[in-house]
Amino acid sequence: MRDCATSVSDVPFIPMTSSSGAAVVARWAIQLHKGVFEFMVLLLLRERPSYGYELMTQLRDALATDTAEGTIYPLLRRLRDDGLVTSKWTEQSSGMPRKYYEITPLGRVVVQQMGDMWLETSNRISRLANRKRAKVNP
Amino acid sequence: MTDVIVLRDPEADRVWREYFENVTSHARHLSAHDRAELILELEDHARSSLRATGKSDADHVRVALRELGDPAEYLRPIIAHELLARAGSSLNPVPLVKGLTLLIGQTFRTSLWALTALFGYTLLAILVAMALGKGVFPGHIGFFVFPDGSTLFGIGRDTGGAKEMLGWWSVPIALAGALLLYVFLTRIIARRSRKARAALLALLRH
Repeated sequence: MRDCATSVSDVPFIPMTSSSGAAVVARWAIQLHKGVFEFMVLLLLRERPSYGYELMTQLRDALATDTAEGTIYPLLRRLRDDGLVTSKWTEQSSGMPRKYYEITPLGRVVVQQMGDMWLETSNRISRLANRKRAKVNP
Repeated sequence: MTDVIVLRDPEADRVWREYFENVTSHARHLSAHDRAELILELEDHARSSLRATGKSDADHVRVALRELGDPAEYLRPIIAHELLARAGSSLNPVPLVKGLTLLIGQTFRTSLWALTALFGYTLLAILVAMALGKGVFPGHIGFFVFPDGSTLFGIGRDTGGAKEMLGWWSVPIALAGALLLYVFLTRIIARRSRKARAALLALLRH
């Protein structure tokens, strides 16, 4: 993800002089982040069970996005409905309940497949981006 | 730092309660159990956010809740899903229209799908209007064949010179069409997202 974002901002031949150009990139970045949220949540849950705030904090750190934190809950609900994660309430030391999410065996298969697709797609895009850059800056 | 966040500042407490009253209002379409769970989870989120700052004054509460977002926006997919599932099992048009309306503006594909479904229901409404209006405007509702060979099925203002082919049969035909369309659309809507995702998962399993 970061590699991809870095390569875009490094491209020197895009004259970002108009505000509409910046708006297009900002809109594209939002869509890109939304598109990978599901994949990233599964990646994080593959490491260990987690809860909404913790997941969102890690997503925000990784993507430097200012997406509303509440958007994680419809996503987690969808993953649960699809059988990719399960949830259970756990009592904290304070006595307050907390909902933890855990990846299922099916979720592990799906995230593996997503990872393969991601690598293949990012490789193809990188090759295309480098080819274009080589033509412009021989 | 303590594990429990206590809002001693009355303003912070007011901001907190106001936000969660808003959440409760937007989540009113969920079952009582789902609503209670959702609120508990969002409260835990906001408490965790405050705990990270170590402060719980009104300004920090506002920031934490602003970062959580506007419940009207982020709860929209949950509510739409719930309303459409309910409409699919009860065939009730009210949650159906509300659910479809909530879907508009999410993604392009979802919006297009919701608009198509709403178009289908508009067609259904026209069929019902035909059945109900035939008794009042018999010369303007039905299946008309004009002298130039053109045809019209539905409601027409200028039907002078046209021959009405169905007569009163247009009432049961319109009602049957409306009923079939309603059952078909409503069932399809309730199953759509589940089937699409099941197909994707089946593809990924291979």
